[in-house]
Amino acid sequence: MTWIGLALLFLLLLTGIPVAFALGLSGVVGLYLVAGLDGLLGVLQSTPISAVASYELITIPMFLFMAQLVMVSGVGDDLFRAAAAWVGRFPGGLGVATALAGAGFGAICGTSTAAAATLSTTSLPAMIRHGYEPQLAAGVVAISGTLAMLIPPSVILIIYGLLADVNVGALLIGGVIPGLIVTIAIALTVVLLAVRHPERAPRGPRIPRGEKIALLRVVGPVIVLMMMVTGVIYTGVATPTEASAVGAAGACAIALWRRRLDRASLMRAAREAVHATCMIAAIVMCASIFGFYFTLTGLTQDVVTWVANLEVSRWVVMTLLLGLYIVLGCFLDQIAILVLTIPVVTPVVAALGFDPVWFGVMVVLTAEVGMITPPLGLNCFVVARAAGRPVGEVFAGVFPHFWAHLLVIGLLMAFPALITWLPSRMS
Amino acid sequence: MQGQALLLRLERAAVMGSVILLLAIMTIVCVDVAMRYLFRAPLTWVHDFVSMYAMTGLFFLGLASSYRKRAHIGVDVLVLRLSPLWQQRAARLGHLVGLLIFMPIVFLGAERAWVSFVNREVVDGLIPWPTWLGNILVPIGAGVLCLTLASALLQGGHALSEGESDPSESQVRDGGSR
Repeated sequence: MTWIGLALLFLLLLTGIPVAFALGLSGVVGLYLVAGLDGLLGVLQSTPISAVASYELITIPMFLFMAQLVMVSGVGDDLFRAAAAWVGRFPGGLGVATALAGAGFGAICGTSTAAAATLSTTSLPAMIRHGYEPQLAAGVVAISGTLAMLIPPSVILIIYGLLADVNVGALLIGGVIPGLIVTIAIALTVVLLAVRHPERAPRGPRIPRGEKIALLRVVGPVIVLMMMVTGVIYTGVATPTEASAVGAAGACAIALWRRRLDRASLMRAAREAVHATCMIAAIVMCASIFGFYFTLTGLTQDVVTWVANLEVSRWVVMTLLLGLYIVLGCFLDQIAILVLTIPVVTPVVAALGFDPVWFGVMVVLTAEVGMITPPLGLNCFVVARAAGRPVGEVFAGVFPHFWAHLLVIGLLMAFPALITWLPSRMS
Repeated sequence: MQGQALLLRLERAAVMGSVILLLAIMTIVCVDVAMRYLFRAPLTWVHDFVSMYAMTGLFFLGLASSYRKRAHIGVDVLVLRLSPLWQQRAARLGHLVGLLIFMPIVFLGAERAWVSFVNREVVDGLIPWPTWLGNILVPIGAGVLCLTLASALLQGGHALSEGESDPSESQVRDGGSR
């Protein structure tokens, strides 16, 4: 009985049908086998509304709407220009500027595909125009886009929080220091590549001081918006739910102030946010149906008991788990990975004594790796499509960053406090 | 063709409802935060209204449109390597599986809404919100999705090409490339 639902799930996933539908049908079949028709009908009647009628869930549409509005506002383009003006003269300066713009954009936009698409249209052409090797330039853009997954507001961290029932505010704040470390790792990798092969990344143009200072005016709204979200969550002034709505309204105000928002672009942004919300909420709803079946089988408890009885260090188990996430990230979508694994993995991680906030951030770090590794590597495809470059070139360019990312994962495993310290200081 | 046009209009009307609810959630929650911190007078009805009506409506009313725009992620690593004929068959399987899940949800949701309407069920709280108003959104939204799925199933794998999303519209989600 246990394996029929699971086998059906994987079979349906292989056919490429929506993840939500695959979860829903395998949950329905599994529940029918385990709980009978009455149990199944009861779940189908109550779950659709109970899964989505949640106040906490509004963080998803609000942050997605905020991301759309930030894209409309064009702030991302100006962030790169400002960063390029200040650090462009250093070795690999424009690449470093891309990483800084990615971090800044990530601080006001929670989705990495939006960040990668925005950086592709501005920083990639600028780097190539200044003589950067296209492979190196495309690689730094693809990896910088992933920063939005880690730096709050991160939609993927919120999904993890909802699935694993972990404090979303602590998760978002937990992503701040790792986000900064990853930014530094990207910048150092570019500098290292530029120092070894200066011809691959020539220095940027000299910018007059007056122009540099003038370009900083874009930083103001970004900091304000960042404080409206991350600042209020950290200080405890507002919950993540409230902060998400305030952030969306702030992004709306910035887009209006920059005269980029009209009725048509507002409606388009809202529609896009609704579509993405429906995709995520459908998965949450169907995962909830599947979750009933999964709970009744007792499989989670069996796995927890089995892992707890293994005579190996818990760090060996964790290393294997994170390795598994990196491998899964090469083939599966990040949301699908979370939905499929979190219900089983989180109890195991808790039983082994790991902090769920630390683990959530680590999972997102491995998801970042998945976004840049073939064959799926969504960010590489986004950059290739937006910039009109061959996808193989982007994958090759991002390869040095893959190793740098693994080093960061190792660093955060060795020093978990780098993730858990800031959430522990929250008001 | 007339049926298709009607279905498209129905989907557009439903997603417009979702968009209005999205904007309403943003506005209401911001006003609530402002009222709480500036005037110490929070809006007591926000939590129930947003979770029970607005969030439910936002999701269910946008479902059909999101499916037509192919916003739903799937694991397409294997499917992309199949011939167009098999890709079309896989798409039809998706429509069928969707129908199998959402058809019962339409009927069970309608039954639940009817029962809560007849019994005049309300929420326990400061404001006794009627529950049927939230419950009825489930069969309405899931019903429109079922019509979209049935139409796509009857017309084959290309049925969702009408009303395709504007290529310039970005997909801002950390999801797959379906």
